[in-house]
Amino acid sequence: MANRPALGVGYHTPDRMTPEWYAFGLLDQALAQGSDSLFYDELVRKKGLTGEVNAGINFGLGNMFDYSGPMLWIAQFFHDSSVPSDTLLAAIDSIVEKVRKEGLDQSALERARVKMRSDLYANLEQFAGFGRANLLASFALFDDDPSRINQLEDGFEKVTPALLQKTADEYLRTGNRTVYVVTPGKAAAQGEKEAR
Amino acid sequence: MKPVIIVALAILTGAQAAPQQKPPAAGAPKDFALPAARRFTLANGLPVTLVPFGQVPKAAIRLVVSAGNVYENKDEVWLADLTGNLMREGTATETADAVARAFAGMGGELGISVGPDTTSISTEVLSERAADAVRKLADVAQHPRLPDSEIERVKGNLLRNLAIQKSSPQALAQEKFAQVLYGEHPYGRIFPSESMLKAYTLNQVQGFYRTHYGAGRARLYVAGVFDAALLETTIKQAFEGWTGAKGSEVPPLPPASGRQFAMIDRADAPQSTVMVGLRVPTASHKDWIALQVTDALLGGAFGSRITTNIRELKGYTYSPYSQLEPHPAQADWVETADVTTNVTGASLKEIFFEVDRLRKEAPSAAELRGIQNNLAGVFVVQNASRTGVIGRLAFVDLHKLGPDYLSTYVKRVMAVTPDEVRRVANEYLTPDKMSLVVVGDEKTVKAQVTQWAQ
Repeated sequence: MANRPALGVGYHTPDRMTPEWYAFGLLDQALAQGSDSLFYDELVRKKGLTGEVNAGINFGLGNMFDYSGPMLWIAQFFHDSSVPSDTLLAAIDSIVEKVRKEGLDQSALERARVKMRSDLYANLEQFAGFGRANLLASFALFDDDPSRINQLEDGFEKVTPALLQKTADEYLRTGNRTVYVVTPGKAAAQGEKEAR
Repeated sequence: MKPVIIVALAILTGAQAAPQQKPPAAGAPKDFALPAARRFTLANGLPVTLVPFGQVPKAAIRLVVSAGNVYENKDEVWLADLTGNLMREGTATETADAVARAFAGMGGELGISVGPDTTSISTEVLSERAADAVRKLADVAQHPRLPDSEIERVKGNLLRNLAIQKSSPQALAQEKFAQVLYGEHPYGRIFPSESMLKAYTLNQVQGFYRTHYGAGRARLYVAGVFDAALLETTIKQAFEGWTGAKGSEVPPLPPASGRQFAMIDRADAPQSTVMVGLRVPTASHKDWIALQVTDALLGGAFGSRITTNIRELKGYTYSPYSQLEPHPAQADWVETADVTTNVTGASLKEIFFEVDRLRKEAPSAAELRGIQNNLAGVFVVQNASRTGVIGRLAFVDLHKLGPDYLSTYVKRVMAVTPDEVRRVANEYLTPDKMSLVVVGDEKTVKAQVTQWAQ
């Protein structure tokens, strides 16, 4: 049924509850969440390569707080057939590489923190309050410590520009990711997932 | 959102199957009490509703404008969408990326959503930034840049969405069904053609904006935790300069026709998407609440008759549902199901069987009570958020339902009697007036459905 090509990238995330994991949460906010994000600004607004950015840690299954074990950060994009997926990937790479080298400036970091706090509240309120129960249950089950729900904001507060840059450099390496490409209307052999 | 919640609740309940003892009966549904709202109207005619709600330090702001698809001409389908989408591209004094960063810095995002009757401009921000957000949102609504430089890109996004939607049999069925029910009326037009959409000019967008966006055609809502006095002052300052807009008349609805049938061929499709329904009275009608209860019992609720029949007992389909879609002048009722191809006819037979049964015979009090509890409970759950409350208030205002609609809703749902359900089904859900749309493998399905195709 697919009549539009799509591209996705998945990166392994740092272990949960580590300082790097908190930093990675802010990277997700800065790179891929909302219409102020670096991906949206460059790929949608400036270059018109795609219409929207869909991304997240534990994407499609839950949020960055309600899992345990290894995890991916995924970002995916529908695009027109007139845009080769390599062009889109190259544009993504240049954004990611800049953040790996330079990190974020102070105002972008603060904005990521505000977005994260707002998102966390949204998670708590999700499904008429089930979101809060979901996080309490997750921290009880995975950590035997439901009170972790109260430490999250502090974890994000502690992320420094240096830690953020170091985390980006380590975890947003191309060697730490998988790229998948969906091509409509071609034989399965050509359209199947390509690992790079 | 609604079906997801219902299914999720059903699964939660299902997980407790094989109980060792019967659970105690559920408590009686409680009324929904709307927190005391502050309402005022600006000198330019903009009505404002402020609702203190909840404890989480956030505030939702929504400006609802009479600028939905119903105001489009025949050759302007999705012009409202193009206008709404272009309004995200900056204001007279700020570029689009600056506006986006400003909302993000408040913990929110600018959302513009275009519906059949209204367009909403909204955001949800951290409480301490609510006044800033009101100012920014007011700027977007009153002084959109509508830049020519971005129109082709924004159109490209809409064209992509159009192509994605038109690849889904459900969307094709909805498009055809709307056409069958509403004909040449704007409610009958769901999608533009690609060439129509490509041809829109900035001039048309500016024209649509000027005609429909103005203080007298809008309502502002704020719900959440906020400083009410500060917000009231800010709203007055930010919106008092907004002038009116002349608007345009919504064309009258064409008379409802008898049964119509339409089939869209999807060769070798393993499933058929079927839609069965008709026009019914809308939210301002005295029978609306009873109609909602009837819909829930028949096909709307997860435990409804049609769902029990064709999903649970027969296994023809996974997630059938019926719903009422209310517009200010008219609603429609429709049952939708994706059914296995070889039982398309059998599914229709069962759907009509359940409609007929309910029209002849009142449901038992116990069956009705279960549905009423569900409807009342879902109503309260859906109101349990800032945006949920705003959505309800906007609904009440759009349909002019009066101030006590929300507070008396649960009571009125619970007061519907079994015989009222039968009467309402008999009066409004008339099978020979129900139209039928089937998207499926024509060569297999056509013979199965000819019985209803006249």
